Amino acid sequence: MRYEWKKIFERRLNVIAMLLGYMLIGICIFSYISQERFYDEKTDSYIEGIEALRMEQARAEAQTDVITEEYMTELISEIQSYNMDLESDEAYTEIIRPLGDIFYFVAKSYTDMRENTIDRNALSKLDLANGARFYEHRMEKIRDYLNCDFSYGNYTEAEKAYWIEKAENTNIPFRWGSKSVMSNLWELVFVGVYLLFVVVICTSSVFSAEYESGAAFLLLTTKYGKDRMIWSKITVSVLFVVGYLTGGTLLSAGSTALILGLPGANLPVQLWNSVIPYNLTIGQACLGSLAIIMLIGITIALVLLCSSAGLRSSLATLVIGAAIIIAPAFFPMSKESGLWNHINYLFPVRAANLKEVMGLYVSYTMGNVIIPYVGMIVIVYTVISVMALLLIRRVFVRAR
Amino acid sequence: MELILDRVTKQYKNKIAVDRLSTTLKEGVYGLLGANGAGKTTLMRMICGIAEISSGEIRLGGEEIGVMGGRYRDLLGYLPQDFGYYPNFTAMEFMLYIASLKGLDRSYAKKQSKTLLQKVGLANEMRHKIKTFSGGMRQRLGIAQALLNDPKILVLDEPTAGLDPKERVRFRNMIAELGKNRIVILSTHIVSDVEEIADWIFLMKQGQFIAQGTLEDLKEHYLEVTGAGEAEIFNLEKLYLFYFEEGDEEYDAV
Repeated sequence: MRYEWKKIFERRLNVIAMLLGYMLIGICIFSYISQERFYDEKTDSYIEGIEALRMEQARAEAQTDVITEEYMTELISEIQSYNMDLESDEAYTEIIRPLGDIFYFVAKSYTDMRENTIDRNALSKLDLANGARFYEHRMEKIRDYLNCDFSYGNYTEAEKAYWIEKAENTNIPFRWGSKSVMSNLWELVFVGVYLLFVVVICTSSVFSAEYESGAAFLLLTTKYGKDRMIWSKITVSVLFVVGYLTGGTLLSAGSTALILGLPGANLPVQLWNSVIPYNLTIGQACLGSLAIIMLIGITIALVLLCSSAGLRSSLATLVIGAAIIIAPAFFPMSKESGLWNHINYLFPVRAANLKEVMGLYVSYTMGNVIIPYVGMIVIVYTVISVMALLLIRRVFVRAR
Repeated sequence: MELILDRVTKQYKNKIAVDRLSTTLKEGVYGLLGANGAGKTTLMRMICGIAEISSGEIRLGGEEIGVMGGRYRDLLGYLPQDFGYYPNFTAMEFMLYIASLKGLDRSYAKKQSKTLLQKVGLANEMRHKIKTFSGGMRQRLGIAQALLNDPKILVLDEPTAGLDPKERVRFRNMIAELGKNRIVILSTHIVSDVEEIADWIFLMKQGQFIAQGTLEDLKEHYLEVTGAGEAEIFNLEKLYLFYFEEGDEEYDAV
């Protein structure tokens, strides 16, 4: 295996790609922190960078610990007392900017699930005669969404029951705090999708380079050339994917933790989107994202090893790998075909976006079994990986 | 030990590269001579188990080599024609890599690698990266790796290509020595290599053995076919030209 590692690390293109990948993370860390801005009412000025994140954290702590009905009623009542169009610049200056994140959280919570943008004025129209009914409203919103008529197909009764049960079992009330640092960290984990290009570059030549150089003919005549060597290549490639992506995460999480700590890691994911029906903390979701990106990375690596062994061309394999990652980003969602949409959700660039995935209420029904989106991602990528794994040896030995 | 080729055929779509070849190989040096496209490399690859046999079979000690799998490859040493080396590996690393694929114990592999690199005149270059090697040095390294597992069947495809005359002579002696207790099959365009060291010579054309035997057998055959007198000075080159210049085959410089 040591020689297989050597082959990966001694290829100049691989090393350049690896370094560029980590440089990208470094740039993202710098850019996320430097772009952070906090409006300080006392000095009537914007504070930027690390200090902005600290100020935001202090503000969130001062607002509330827990999203209670009483707090919500009080907050929305205060917002309504201004009697302003919440889309106006004046409302932004007077209400939204001082409240910060909590305003967007509340406004999004009262926005219809089919809307792509936050309806700020939903808060103005809210009847507070019986209080904010925050959690009750959350469930009504989810039920309304599940009962909608969609042009590409509706939820079955079983699916509705499944999702309602899941949403009802979400731990409430939600804890409140600043999620900015962890949201930045999640973005950094999502940069892992771009690191998949490094995976593509480094794995595309694993088998094909042996053909391109002619060494395959020698290797295949050795005692272990048709079995152990192939497994070594596969093992090293998979370990490379896991190691490289973990390295990227350690770099981003380590740097963030070193600079800011990891405040907000134990807050619930519902602070991203209150309708999310999973009992996870933001920290767990970040780890989950990493796990899914890693699974996708391993699958892509195995598929490319198969292609590398069969096509015997590093370039062709590289093109296939890049296409697997880039092309689906341009596939539109259909207004007619639910099937296509369900397939489209499974392509790497969408599947890796766990933050979005969790609030989408996408499920796959097979007979009486309902598989949630995250579960389906795991199943599909695992099945593809196993198939590729079984094919690699056959393809490499046969391609001779 | 007998390596039996039994009506071995290789067909690529409409082209027959190797056509129902049968022979029995025992310890000794076997030379394969033929023009480009005669089927030499294909035959060698089939013997090494890296080209599928379309029909017929190859057996070692009565067992089909495909069935033997790793056990057969354990007995094999192969030097492919124009094979790629890993430019960033040192000669020693390359030897140890191949040794690990041949299943050799690491300490034995180290010792054996040093001995073989010395034998092929690369002892002083064992720590140098292969990308700094000349064509001849790479070829010598290729020969050394083929011998790592002390193979009982040694298949050498154009082993003397790129070697200078001095190296070639040294290499011929080495092969002659190796052929005493193993099957050595070598293919070449260089007629003098075969003439000097092969115990048995196969002349290949269009996937078939058109003549075979010891140098003496072939001489007799040549004299018989051409009607030349005993007084004529015979060498294999004449025979080669006799067979290959007459046909339509592309003729490579001998």
